[in-house]
Amino acid sequence: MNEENLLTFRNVAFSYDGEEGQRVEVLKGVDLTIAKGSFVSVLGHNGSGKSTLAKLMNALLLPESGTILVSGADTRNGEMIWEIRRHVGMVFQNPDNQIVGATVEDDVAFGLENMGVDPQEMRKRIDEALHSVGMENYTLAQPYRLSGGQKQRVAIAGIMAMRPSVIILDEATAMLDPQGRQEVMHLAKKLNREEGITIVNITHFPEEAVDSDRVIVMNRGEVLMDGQPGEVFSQVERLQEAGLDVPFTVRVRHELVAKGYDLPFGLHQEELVEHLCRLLLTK
Amino acid sequence: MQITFDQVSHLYGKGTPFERLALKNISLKIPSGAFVGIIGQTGSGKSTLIQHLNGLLSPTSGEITIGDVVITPTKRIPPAKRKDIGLVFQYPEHQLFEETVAKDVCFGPLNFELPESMAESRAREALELVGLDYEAIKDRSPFQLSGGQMRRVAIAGVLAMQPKVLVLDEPTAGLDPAGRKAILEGIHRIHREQNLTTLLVTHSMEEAARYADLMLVLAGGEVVMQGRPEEVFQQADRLRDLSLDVPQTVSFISRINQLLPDTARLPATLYREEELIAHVLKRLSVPKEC
Amino acid sequence: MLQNIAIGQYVPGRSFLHLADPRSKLLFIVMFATLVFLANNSITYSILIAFTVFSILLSRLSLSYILKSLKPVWLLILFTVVLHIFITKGGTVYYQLGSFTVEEQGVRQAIFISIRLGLLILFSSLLTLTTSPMDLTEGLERLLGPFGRIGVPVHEIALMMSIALRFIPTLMEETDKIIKAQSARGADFTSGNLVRRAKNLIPIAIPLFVSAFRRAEELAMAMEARGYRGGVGRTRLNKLRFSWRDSLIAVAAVLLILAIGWWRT
Repeated sequence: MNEENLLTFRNVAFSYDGEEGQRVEVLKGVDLTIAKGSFVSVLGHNGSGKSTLAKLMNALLLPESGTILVSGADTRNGEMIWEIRRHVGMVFQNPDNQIVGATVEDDVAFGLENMGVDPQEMRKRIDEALHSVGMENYTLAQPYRLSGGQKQRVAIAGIMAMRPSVIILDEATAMLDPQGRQEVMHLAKKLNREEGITIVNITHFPEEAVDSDRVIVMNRGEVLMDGQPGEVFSQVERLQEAGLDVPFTVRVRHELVAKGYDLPFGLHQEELVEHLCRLLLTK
Repeated sequence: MQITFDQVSHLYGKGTPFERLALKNISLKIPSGAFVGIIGQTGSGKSTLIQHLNGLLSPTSGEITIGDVVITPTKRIPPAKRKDIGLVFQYPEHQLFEETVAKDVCFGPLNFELPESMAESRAREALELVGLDYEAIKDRSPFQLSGGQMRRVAIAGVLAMQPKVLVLDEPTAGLDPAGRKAILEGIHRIHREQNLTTLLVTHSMEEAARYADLMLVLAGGEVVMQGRPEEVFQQADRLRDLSLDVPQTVSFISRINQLLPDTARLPATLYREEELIAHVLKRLSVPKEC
Repeated sequence: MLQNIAIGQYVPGRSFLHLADPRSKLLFIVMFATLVFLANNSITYSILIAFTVFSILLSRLSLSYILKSLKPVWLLILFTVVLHIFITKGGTVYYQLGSFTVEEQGVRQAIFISIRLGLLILFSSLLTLTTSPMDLTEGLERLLGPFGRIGVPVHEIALMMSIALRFIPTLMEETDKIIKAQSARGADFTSGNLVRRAKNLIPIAIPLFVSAFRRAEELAMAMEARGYRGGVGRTRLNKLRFSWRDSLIAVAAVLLILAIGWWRT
């Protein structure tokens, strides 16, 4: 087993039968590795293949060709499938359609029940998991009374209770209001930092990717870019061609640089403000 | 159409254990032709407010005037006038139900007893307004379209009633940046071309800043701020107290202004990104006067 | 607002009956129903009535609210009463009009039958009023657990019930939203004859079906992602615990059985 690379994609392709009988290629020749403990953002417009990528990571889908390894285990290996799913937790887009339990604690218990965990141990893990997502005061609450952000945190608790190595957020913030989005992102960062959980955040909000260790940009089923946020976001035109946005700061700088002004690249507003002021004052 | 609310309150579940005051004494005035951004957190009363506009909810007290129609707790909006107010709900694609796109878009006009031929021409017009090719799409099943297309069809279903007031509840929720931009640009264009009064409910300050010429900020069932965007954005602290953000342009300007001498400050009216960039470029190109 | 409708008729509370384990409540009801059919004279019926009144007091729910549960079966009770008065014969003749007579046995049976029905309904509504649907499902699952060994998919049935319960509020909210959206497009759900009204429901029914299917599909995917693979090898979070309340219920059950056994004729 390779400890460093938690997830490995080797030349992975995936397609399905389209409406008119033709093959629709969703992924073609994807090669990537995700290191243990990292925070990776996957950007891509709708239909770029990023959600398929997520579902391949925990064997909800199997690759048509190529290999996917989770901690060294092939997702095609039927015997490993439950272990892989325990390791790779998924949070989906619609908070309402992934909560199974009629109460918060029932829902967190669901994965543990599937694993056959002893009820006493379960109790302990549920309490820990709810604590780690800050929902310990809602143990018996009914999910439909929670806000979108809270529902997603419950979903994350359900995964945390299973002691995963990686959590994949499959557009988990797309349906949330700004506050809910912030709650979920804060939590993901905290779990990454404090518990060493690897996070793969699949999103189309470029702002969410700014602070990650690595950004992977998907376009038409291929990895278009792969690197640190600075490297990726500095290629504004390429991103825009792929139907993606860049953070505000990058956009403003890009416009000014295009007109011939000299401003160093930065992802955060503070840096741009400082340089721009200097420029304005020396004029 | 001009819209006014005079001391409007709405109480949900009166007399049950679930009683809740969703709107508290709301007074506001929206001039005809305005593009209004309605901002507020989930549960601030935004949805309740807009449902009062076409009679889905009646005020518990107070009075609403829309054009020449007056709505009070006992006086409902006349059915024929309801079509003047087009309401696009959140995730409007969930309301599609007909076999074909054309039939679905005709649903509204036919309900308001328009003859079939006229309904069809309305459907054509509405679908073209939202940027879809009528001939190519009219016979397709709405359920086979992409998410973004379904949403456009649903919006066309409301536009086909030729409303004078267009109310949209989070029309961009769940879309990617390209989809969001396309929808909003489309709405803005329709707003101008059709001379509509448009109310855009949104969580996004960026969207409000870009399109609105009037803003309403709701919190706890009350209108806590109303005015031109720059007036609202200037009260950044107050917005933050309400757990709302200012647009990035506004925080950018205020950060810059902190570092610049008083005389060189950027005006707060530059909350639209293009205008901000254009202004900065102008400042950089003009040699300093002093 | 639709979402404010309570599921079932559960009224949250912290009375003795609310806090008792659903399993003991369920078992007690089965026993009580048997006793109701074993009772056959004034003494035994009086005992059962007294016990029912005592239980209602224990639930701390308002009497009028509980009596409301009798409303839908009022006609049924009336019908059986009339039937017995007309058909069951024997004993003293109380009233005679031509060939039609009202006799002692008929009146007796009519009274007893209506007491039986009334008691059964009151008691089972006490159960649903004081037990949340989730606890009820859980209790049923535990009690039926042994049938799993003979191939009854108890686990799956219980899971289905709890998922249904979980989604009722969500679907209610959705229905509310779709009704409003179609009303905003001028749909009219209140006028016209029956056929027309049924037809008017299509714009609500289809979107609801579509959404329910989408939800089901997504939920299935989410369940699979969390390692769901059917009931085999699954454990359950143990939440039900017997307490002193359940011991008291057991004692009450034994006393009731002895009393009915002693006084029935």
